[in-house]
Amino acid sequence: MIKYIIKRILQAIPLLFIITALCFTLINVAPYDAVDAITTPEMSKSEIAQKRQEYGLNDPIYVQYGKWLGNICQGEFGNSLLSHTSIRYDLANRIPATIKLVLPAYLTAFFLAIILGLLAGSFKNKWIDKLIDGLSSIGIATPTFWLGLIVMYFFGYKWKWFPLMGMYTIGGEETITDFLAHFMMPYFVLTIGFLPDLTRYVRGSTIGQLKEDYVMVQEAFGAKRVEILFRHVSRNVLVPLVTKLGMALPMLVTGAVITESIFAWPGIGPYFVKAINSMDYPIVMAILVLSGVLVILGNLLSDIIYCLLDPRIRAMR
Amino acid sequence: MKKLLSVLLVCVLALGVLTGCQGKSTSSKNDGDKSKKNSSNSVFTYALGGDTGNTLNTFKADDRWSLMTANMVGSPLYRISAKGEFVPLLAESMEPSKDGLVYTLKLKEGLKWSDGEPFTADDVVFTYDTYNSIGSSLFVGGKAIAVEKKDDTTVTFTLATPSASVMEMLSAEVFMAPKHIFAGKTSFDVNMLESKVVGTGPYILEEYKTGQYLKFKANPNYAGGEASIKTVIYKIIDNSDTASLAMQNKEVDAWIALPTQLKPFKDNKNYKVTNYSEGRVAYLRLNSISDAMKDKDYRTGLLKAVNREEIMMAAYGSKEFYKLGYSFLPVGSKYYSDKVEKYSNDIEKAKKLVEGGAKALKLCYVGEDPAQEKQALTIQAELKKVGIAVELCGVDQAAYMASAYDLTNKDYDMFLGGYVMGIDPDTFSVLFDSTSDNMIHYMNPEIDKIFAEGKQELNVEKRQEIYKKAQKMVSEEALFYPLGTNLRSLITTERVTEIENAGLVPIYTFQDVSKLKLK
Repeated sequence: MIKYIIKRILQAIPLLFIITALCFTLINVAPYDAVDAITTPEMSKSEIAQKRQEYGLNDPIYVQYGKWLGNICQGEFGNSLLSHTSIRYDLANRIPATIKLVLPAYLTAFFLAIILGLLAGSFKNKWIDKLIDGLSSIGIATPTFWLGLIVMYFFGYKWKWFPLMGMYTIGGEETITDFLAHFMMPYFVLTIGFLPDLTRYVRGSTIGQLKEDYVMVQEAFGAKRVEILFRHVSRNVLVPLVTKLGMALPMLVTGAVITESIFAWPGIGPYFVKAINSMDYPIVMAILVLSGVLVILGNLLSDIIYCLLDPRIRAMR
Repeated sequence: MKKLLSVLLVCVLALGVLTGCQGKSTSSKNDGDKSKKNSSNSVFTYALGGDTGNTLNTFKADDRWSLMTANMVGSPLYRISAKGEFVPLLAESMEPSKDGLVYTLKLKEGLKWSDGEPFTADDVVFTYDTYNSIGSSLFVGGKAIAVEKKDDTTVTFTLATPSASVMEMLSAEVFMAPKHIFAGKTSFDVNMLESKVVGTGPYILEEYKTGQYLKFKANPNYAGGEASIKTVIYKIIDNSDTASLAMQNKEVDAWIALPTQLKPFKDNKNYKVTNYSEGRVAYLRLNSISDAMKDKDYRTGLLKAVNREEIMMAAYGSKEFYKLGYSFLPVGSKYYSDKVEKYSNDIEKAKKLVEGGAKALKLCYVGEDPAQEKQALTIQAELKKVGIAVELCGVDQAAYMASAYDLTNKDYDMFLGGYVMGIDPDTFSVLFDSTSDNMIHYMNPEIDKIFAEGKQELNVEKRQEIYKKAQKMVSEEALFYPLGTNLRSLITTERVTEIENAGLVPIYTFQDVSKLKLK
């Protein structure tokens, strides 16, 4: 098993190379750069040229890439071209904030989706299925920013149940209760955001599984519906879901862009979007490398869990 | 299933540890610092539209949020008011020699940095030398200004050629840097998470929290007198709808809003809305190298077909949010003149003038800017009346700057734009002077000459005459069509007073936050 994991990780390294080279090239293909994004009519041509020189934007693209790669290998993410801020420190503060929000929300959505999806799938075309499926459709069609603002308006502004925004009260002690009070609204919005898609996925696979022979055999043996659903069908439904879970790993970094910006949550989302808009490539690349690593790790993780869950796959290898 | 559950359980536990630890470690740091509600009389909260990042470098700061922070913790030697007057701060006086080549600066006595160290002429020399070593922003006539210490409170600045805008140049966005901190260092980056920021500003940075807020406390050593409001918080709120709710909840005391966001605050006794000019000049410019724009009559026809009042009204919705302007200087400038060619709207004349010229034009503007989008649509409709089809090209800010500043670019025939330059009219010369950067792309040696004259002349009345002529000449080229100045709306809670005293200025919002008071 360990040999297999090491092999997979080694295989991932060239992939990561390709991802970064590709992203770097694409950013550089654009006919303008980060200096254009900060240029104002006040700045003289020589100032602009000087900035380009300073940021190394005049170097050929392979030289720029080489420099960047060298820095990354030493764990140095560099500075933002726009605000000169040290990216390492920003990420070290922002990524934990995003994880604290996305992880609980995704896990909650995941568990709820399993239960709701199994229920809907087993009662296909009954009222409960129609209700769950209908709500999922509405959920998918509801934009997060709208839901976020509605939730904020009622729970934060009108009824004042929760603080309007942020992660902690300014100047206050950073206690768990304070955190939870700030956390509830974005957590709820994000959970609702993740839920419909997952529920439909579970529902679809449940319907597929219920047509399988083993279900008929179980029914013939006189097993109860609940027993069939939660002991047999659920196991088979979960296997493809594990892939979803693995693929969701990069969401820990980029999973809550809109929610974060609405609730002024100090996460990675708004930071990333601003960097993309202004061609601030050191930030964009740093986050891409992180989420690239997470995609690869996520795939690996789901493969490993696959093996653990399904003896057939273990035997196949 | 069980194994999956255990994996998930581990994740949940890890999260618990993550939040738990963070909560503990930081709360111990803040022991004794009781939570303060915003209603407290000593805390003023300003909604910042974006994060500054953890690094402050007063020499390189060029985005709004970093400059606002720099203006809190740092200060220039003196300030130049919107009317062009000298406002002493660290400096008591700054006198030019008769030939205008040497300026002598006299510092106040007993000045101190925010950490208590004395502020002397050495720091002044160090600051300007550093600026000159990293860039050419303080060069006059292509040469760095020579800065020399005469004694502990006297410094001279020697110029290669006389320049009327040098007083402004030496103070605008030039923040004093402490020699005792930076001497011998190669980087002027200060990590706000780990190091103390030392400056001469009205406030001292107490705490920076990534993506959350910057907390400042009053600097007892501030040369302008200790601030009345003891604690200022810059709260980072990226989303403007959220900022609006926070304002309505009175979680913040001040916020810059768009005209469309003012509704809950207007005619509301709990809030005050102040519209002020940043000195921004919005304009429509015709690309002088575009093949369609070679003929002056055609250009005149175009400008007569558009209507600045209609364009500004479309963009800002009401007359209280803009002032029409007819020259390249902002309305309100001491040198502003409207004795220029105004290209008054005249469709019949316009039709005749554009006859035989291009029938399809491309207009470039910043697509993310809702005001420019509306201006572009209005221009499209107006030019349609004279039989010209306008293709609207709304592009990214970066793409816009790359094309607008590229003087060989023929992709677009017209550009919408805006600029905020300085207070002195000479700061505008770079836009039109073909010997300089010439962003608006003029090619008239007569105009170059008159700007050179204005730069060298130190007498105010004579300069007024020169710039009056310059404004007339610039407008007669029929390339540049100023629209006017849009106003920025500042919303404050009713408890905030002395806003005029703090001074409303471009970029920083308040020139000196220490002058604000809370009821």
